[in-house]
Amino acid sequence: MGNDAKKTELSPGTPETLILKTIERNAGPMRGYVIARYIKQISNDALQVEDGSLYPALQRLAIKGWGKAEGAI
Amino acid sequence: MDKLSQLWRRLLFYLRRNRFDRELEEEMRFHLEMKAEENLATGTSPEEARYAAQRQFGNQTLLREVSRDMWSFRFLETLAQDLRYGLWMMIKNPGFTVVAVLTLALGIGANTAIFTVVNAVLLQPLPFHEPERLVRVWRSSAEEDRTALSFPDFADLRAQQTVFERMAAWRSSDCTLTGQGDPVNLSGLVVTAELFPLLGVTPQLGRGFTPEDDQAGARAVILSNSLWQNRFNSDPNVAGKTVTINSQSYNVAGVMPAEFKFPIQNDPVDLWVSLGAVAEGREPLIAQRGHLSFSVIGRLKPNVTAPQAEAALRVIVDNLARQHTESSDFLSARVLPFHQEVVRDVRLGLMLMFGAVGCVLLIACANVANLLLQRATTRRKEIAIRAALGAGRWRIFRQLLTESLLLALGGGVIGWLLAMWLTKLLISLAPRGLSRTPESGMDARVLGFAVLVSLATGVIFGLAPALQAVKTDLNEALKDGAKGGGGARSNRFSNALIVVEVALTLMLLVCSGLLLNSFLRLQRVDPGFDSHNVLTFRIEPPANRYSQQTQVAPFYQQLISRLEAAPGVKSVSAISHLPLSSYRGRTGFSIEGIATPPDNPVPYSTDFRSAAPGYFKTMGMQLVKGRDFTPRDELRSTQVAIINEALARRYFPNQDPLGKRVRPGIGIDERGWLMREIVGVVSDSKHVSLREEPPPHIYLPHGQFPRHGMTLVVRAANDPKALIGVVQKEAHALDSELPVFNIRTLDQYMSSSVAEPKFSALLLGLFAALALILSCIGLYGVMSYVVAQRTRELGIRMALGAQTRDVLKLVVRQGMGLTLLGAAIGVAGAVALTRMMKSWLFGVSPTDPLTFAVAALLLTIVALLSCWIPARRAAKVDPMTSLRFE
Repeated sequence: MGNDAKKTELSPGTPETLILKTIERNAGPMRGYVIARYIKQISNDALQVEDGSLYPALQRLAIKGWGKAEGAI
Repeated sequence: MDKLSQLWRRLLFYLRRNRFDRELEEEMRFHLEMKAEENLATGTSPEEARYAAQRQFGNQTLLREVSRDMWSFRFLETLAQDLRYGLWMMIKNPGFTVVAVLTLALGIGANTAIFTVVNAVLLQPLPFHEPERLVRVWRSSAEEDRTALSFPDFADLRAQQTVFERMAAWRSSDCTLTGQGDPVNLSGLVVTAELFPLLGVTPQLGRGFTPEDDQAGARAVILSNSLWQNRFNSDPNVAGKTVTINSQSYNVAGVMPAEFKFPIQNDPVDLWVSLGAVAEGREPLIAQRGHLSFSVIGRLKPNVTAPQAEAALRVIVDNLARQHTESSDFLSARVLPFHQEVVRDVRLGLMLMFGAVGCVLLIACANVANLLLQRATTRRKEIAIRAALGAGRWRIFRQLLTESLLLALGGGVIGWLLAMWLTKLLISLAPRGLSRTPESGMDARVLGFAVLVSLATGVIFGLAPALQAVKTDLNEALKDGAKGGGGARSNRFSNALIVVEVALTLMLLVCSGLLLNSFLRLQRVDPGFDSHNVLTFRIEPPANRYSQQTQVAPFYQQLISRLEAAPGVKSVSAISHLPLSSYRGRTGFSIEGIATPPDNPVPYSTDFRSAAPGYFKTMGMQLVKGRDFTPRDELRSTQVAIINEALARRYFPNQDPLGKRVRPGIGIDERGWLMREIVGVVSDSKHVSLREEPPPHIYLPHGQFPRHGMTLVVRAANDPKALIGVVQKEAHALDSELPVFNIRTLDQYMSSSVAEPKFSALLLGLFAALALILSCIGLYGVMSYVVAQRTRELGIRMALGAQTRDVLKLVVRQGMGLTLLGAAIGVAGAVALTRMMKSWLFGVSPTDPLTFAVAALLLTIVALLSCWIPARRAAKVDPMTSLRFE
């Protein structure tokens, strides 16, 4: 575990990287929709995470323990 | 480490998966709403906004499933799903499930049962230390390839050989035990002291034999576990006690363990006696070089093979033959692995059974495959829908295969139970020839076999239907009005299966028919004597109380006359051994007036027995010439003999044997081998086996050749069983310490001599019947299905004017076509295979046309019936109904 693992498995530009960066930068839990919107805004519409790949990416992160799902509401 | 925490998280997920589902759904819903709001902001109508959002979002269900899948233990979950669904399908179709499972259970159960026996008899190593080094040593002469040895020959071999670590010898000996409850006759073995160390077994109590026990006069005995339990109440202090055997005192040296059995291929032996017991007297058994009665076993030295040992012994044998006249025909020794000895007669038979049972299993599989094929076409719609919903080909295939395996497993479990019962049945019915019966029956190897067979079965019959189902054209299947009928391909496969079933069934029918034929002929063989209404029993006055010279003959004379005086008795006599027993006493002899070679005074050989006066009359044998023995033929009178026709034909061709004299190489006293005058010729009777022509045989009068142990034959006026009490009473009156044993009627005795062929015929007949029933069911099933498939067509035909008869003909022709094709293949196969059974057949050739014809006819009739019933059903249906049939 740790940053080394992250470095070898993630390439810049993949949805996972973007999501991770997003979470790092923001405090508190974020909804999938919110994460996608943030990425879009920050990159001035250059980067868009397709809805179809958003959720699987989220799962992947959760499985690997790099993010944590929280049941909200 | 990483993987481990992943695993952990996945596990946690599994426990909370419902919550995950809800949350994910909720999350997506929120996402969708937000998207819709965005769209709304750009000015489209609310509905448009919603649709647009959904379109952008994609397939919700798929996304959800994909997300979920990423977490789950994919393989396990799908497996669980498959299993659950499979079970549910099985419960929903009880009829199908029951038929399929039972069919499989029959096949698997029969296979497992036979394998149990094969495992115990052929595959298990012998329960001795390093059994692969154990060999039997046989004596080989010009006339007989394998006979027993005499003790002096054995002793010389043992002293001069260098290829064995140890050698030991044994012979059987009937022992009468008195003083421990009622007098009882036990089967015993006289053994040299080295036997138990050679085998590598030690007694559970007391000690084994020591070299001292081989010395003359040493009388020690070792008990078997069952004897110790039954007669000695498992007395822990039995070692050292004295018992009375054959009216002499023996010292109990020890008790063998429960699993120990030697010799392994016969009925269990009750006790083992030290060699010293037969080592005393003036002419002890162990000094008689001409008396061939010892079996020999050896343990090869570590790097010596059996052929090497045989070659080494041959040299010693040559010397022996030159030095001693009695051993002059000892040509060479045969050294054969002990294991082979045990399974010699049984291997081929067991393999045959195995093959037969394998055929039954194949037929069962074919039946279930057909059933599944039919069901697969019925399920086409269901499968098509699944595929449309996104199930991959592999997934469907796996689902169907899992269902098949479930069926097979069910069949396996029930088959296992069936096998246990069947094994018990087999063992109880099996004749003596089945050595080494499986004791506890089921061991790990058998269980493994059953599991393997079940799985293989499941794959075999499940594969074709699964493949078939996957290939269905989805569009076709989803159309309404799509009936069953997986197309020509699956029909052809079904047909092929039926043809194979029929072929196998015919082969089994032919084989069992041949065996049955043999057995019936064997039973009808005229043995040369009349076995009806005769009671037999054996009695053995012990040597130390009855001297051979003066007391044995009078004892029997008294017994015979007492029995003859009893009411209901027509005649009584005695013989040293009944015909067709395992006894085969042979001796050399010379003929007066014909010169003998210098090194062999008795160049001819013959079987021999000792007979009391009246034996031939009692047994219903004819005296062709001359006279029977009388009480006047005693020790000091002229020595006489009676020969059978075979001996007369071979050695006195075209002459009258009466009055000629012969000298058999056997004697009982210091006078040695005496010249005997032939006073009678008796008709041939089968005394060796029912299958063979009787070889030469000479009878010596009991008065001149007294044997201690004799079998008495009592011809009754009516039911011989009524005389059992009389027989015991008279024997007891003469000598209360003499047990009477082996009491049975001659008919009973005769039926036990055909017990083996009977058993084989019955067993194979059972399998053939099973195969026939299964094929019948299979054919019926397929034909029913075909009829159902063609219901519309048949309805049209009938509406157009076809008669019932025509419809019947149509359907039956289809079914019978398959049957005849299968029968033809079966006949060809049978002709090829039955050649291997030749040694089992008696009076019938392996290609006996009558048997083949009957088998084919039986099969055809049964098949006809199987086709007829569905055909009639088809013909009876109202054309209007069938036309509307979907």
